[in-house]
Amino acid sequence: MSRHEAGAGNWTEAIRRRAEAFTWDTLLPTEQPVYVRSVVYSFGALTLGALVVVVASGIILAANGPFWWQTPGAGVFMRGIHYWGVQAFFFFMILHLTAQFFMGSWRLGRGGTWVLGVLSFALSVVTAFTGYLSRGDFFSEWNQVQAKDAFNGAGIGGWFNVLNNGQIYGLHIAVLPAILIAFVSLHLLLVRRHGVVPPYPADNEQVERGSSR
Amino acid sequence: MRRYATDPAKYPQARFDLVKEAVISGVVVLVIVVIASLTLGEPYVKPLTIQQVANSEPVLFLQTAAHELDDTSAIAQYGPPYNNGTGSLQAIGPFHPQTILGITFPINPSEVDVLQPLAMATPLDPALKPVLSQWSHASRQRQDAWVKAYLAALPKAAVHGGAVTVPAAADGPVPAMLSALQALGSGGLMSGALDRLDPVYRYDVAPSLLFLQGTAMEQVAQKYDLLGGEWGIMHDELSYPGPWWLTPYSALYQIPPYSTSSAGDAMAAYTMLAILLVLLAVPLIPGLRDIPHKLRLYRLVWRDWYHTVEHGSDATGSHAGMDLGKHTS
Repeated sequence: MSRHEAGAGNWTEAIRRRAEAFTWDTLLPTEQPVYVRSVVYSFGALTLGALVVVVASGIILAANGPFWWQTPGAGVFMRGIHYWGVQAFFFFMILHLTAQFFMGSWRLGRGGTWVLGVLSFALSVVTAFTGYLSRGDFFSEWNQVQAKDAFNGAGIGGWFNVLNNGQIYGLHIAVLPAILIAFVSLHLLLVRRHGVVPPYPADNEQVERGSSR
Repeated sequence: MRRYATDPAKYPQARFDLVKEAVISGVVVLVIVVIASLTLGEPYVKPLTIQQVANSEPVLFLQTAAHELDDTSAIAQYGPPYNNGTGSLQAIGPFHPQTILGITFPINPSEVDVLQPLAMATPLDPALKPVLSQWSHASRQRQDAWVKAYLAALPKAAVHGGAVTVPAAADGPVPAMLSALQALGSGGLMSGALDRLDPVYRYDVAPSLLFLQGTAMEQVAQKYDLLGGEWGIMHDELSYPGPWWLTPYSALYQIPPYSTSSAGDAMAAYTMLAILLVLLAVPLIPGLRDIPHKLRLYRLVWRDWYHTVEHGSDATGSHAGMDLGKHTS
């Protein structure tokens, strides 16, 4: 029997094996190590909560259109939810990122989780920026004409046209959120798969090789 | 190397309800955000329109249009992605990232901003036809001389109720052309005449925004402290927080060489890219990855754990999780 027929090394088999590793108990654990006990652990969950609020309010805004969210009433209120949701999202995300740095959360094989978290942060900055350009007020106009020089100077303005509301709005409500949600989902899956990083060894513990890396 | 598994014998487990933690977090954020939106509102400043500029700053409107007409405006000389100019071409040494993608959004300001709108207005004002004919049949040198003479006379113009009277000068058809353009702007038809790159849906507003950029827009931006020297985009919007997470990026613009170089934008962008790459590679960079271990701030997060391990007492309780939900089971 060939290697291919046996399924070993088959990439579709590999995907299935990896997916099978995620049981309900992995995804929604009923137990965690005792060291998982600090308000710091709430920052990631609060970031995710803010992302849900931002996406939900964004869907409502998109469904009703730009004129609605610039007209006093429900539209302006929902724009406020979206705006403050983004403020909360970045507030908790930066707390989360800072705390994870000082906890050395990339240790013990968790580098991929760290990379996905940083990529999610970077992509969030770009996504929020396209939102600022899509609001439709003077701040949007001003940021558009200013940002064009930044993007042109960096060499991507020839594609990323901040003066094209269609492209920027499409990126803001579909392309960038889709990639961001994918990154965040993978980040969460890796957190669940690998478990919460253990503390650095205590002062009276023998340091295991590589345990602080 | 896979080393992520944590040994249950070394790290005892405690009860934990992830669903409850997630629900609590979502509700906490939702309550904060709804209260903020209801009580504080959100930033919004009505957009600046060409009509406003044509009515409130008619001389500025005419000056802008004159520079667009003879291709001496900032955008006419900008460079890629709009044209072959070099006025805003940024270079880091021999590296010109701006030229890589080429001219992908060609804009000819004299045509787009002045001549085409006037041609469209001809059925409404037939007197424009001979004026435009005079312009198009003149040599380039003659056209430039007309615009130069017009721009020299413009500062002495008299403004009465929005109507501008420019002193007589050897400026050929230029006063008639730009007066008609100002009428178009004053009536609110100008942006519709400009944004015709996609003639039906008007997604691309480059022509009208590029017409507004410069003094007209800067005057409004200055009112709200939005200029680059005032931290630009990340500055507070009215009394609301702006995108404060761009602080490191905006900070670059406040210091040399970013604040003084003509390639400041390109340098700031690539500096931020370098910082991002360093942040991504933290787990691999000796020294940087060791900072948390040396600072020992993690002992605050895991203080109960270290107390247990180092002093032998059980200070961990029986329920893992964030403090938000630790008293419920």
